[in-house]
Amino acid sequence: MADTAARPAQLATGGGPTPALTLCGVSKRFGATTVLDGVDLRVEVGSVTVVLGPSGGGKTTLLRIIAGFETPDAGTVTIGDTLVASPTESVPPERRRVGVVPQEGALFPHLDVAGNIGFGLQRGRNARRRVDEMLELVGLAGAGRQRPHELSGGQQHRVALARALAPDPTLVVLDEPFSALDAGLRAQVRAEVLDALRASAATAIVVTHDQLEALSIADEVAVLLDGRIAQAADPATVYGLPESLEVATFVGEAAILPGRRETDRVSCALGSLELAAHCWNRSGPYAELSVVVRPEQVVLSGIDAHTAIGEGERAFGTVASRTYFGHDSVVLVTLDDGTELTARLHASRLPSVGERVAVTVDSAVSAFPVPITLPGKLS
Amino acid sequence: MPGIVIAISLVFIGVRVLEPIYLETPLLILGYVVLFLPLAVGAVRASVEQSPIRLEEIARSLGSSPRRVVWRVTVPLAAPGIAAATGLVLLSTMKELPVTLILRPTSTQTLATRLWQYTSVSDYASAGPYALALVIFAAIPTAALTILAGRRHGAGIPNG
Repeated sequence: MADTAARPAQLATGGGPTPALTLCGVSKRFGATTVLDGVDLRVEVGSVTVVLGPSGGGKTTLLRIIAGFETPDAGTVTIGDTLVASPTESVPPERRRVGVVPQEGALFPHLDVAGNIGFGLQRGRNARRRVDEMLELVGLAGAGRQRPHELSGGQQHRVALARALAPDPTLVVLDEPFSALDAGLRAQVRAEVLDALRASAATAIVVTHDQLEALSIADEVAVLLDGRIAQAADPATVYGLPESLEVATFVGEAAILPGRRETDRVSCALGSLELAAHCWNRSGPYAELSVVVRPEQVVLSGIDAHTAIGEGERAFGTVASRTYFGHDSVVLVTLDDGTELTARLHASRLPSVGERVAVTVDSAVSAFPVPITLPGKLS
Repeated sequence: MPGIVIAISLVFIGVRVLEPIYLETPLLILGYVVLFLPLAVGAVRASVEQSPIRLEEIARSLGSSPRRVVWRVTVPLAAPGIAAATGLVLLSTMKELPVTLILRPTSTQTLATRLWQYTSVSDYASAGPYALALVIFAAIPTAALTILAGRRHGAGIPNG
């Protein structure tokens, strides 16, 4: 293609195999609102990448740009090695080979299931075979003659996925795919859809605001905050080694405590805690830090329990409330200095409300050199 | 616009410019078109607008050009609305009186004109069959529309 030269150099020289999708500096504004502000993203072939961001944070706009329903104001979109969108040119959606699975399924109501799945195929015997294959893939073999309104929400969703996958797209994008389903159905449909995606070896981009969903289904999580990708990494890295306070508080629960840097440790209301290695270079000595404490890092013990932990490494508090979930429990502790902290504990031995407890943290914590006031957007 | 206004305007045009078709079927049809086109356009537009843009986008992402999307998605989805518009215009035309009376070819009668003629001389017995026929013919499209609307409702066309 003649416009290859227009591609930014770092994409052409990027290591490894050609990614399925490359976004470079993609920006989009609607009126005075900047929805996307320089999004960079690489999606590897065959991976499931989840774009995680708050509701109304531009995730859907990003998908629409990838699918070709919107054009970016700045930046480029490259699918495989074809430049499909730049501020000056845009390949229309029908020539991008991007399958779209919209939020509510959006099946064609005037066609039956087979007609929906076969919509993107050339008519013929091969098309019929492909439709049957797809029905099989999403576990709806034999349902080809049914009308969309006869299907349950989950089934409609699987048909929408089959419809998107049938023409063998380079990329399939799913917009909040499970949010319209009720909680019980959700986990099941999620598993089914994911199985189908894996079985088809498709490259998928899933957009969601549900962090648990993102962490559980993704090969790679891209956290979209304030119109930028704040961090893109595998789920364990995003959760365990967040690159900023915003990512730490958006992905997963966390208590944020003010603290101060002490060489490779940080001191805060919980005493002196080990600082995670990825945060070492983010602050200078004695810097004021915001310490991120995950509920499952918090350990509660009786105040007189005999431990090897030194006095400077634990704090005392009172159990303010507890919520029992069966598999675990969440205990809210008010430390003696007034700080509130949640702990996620296994249900075997729970302190009762009002009980005095010793609070320790069992692993290294992340901490970032930012004031304790959270950005307004997150509240 | 009241039918009588359109009818008299068309009489004027017919006498002045369209002499060859004055009091012929084409001018009568032109009268119906002027009278009922807004009705038809309104109904069809409403149904085309109801066809969700999202479905058209999906169709494009599945490889259909914008023109093919119109035929494969927009028109089929708007079909009930188009049928409704047809039925509506048909009904209105059957019962239309002023334009018909003024512009019809001299030997042509419609159910409505017959009915009007007999009732205007209080010959209700003779008017009866025409009235009955009108009711029956009106009932057919109405029934068809109701069934269509019911099916469409059942299909639960998403309106997002």
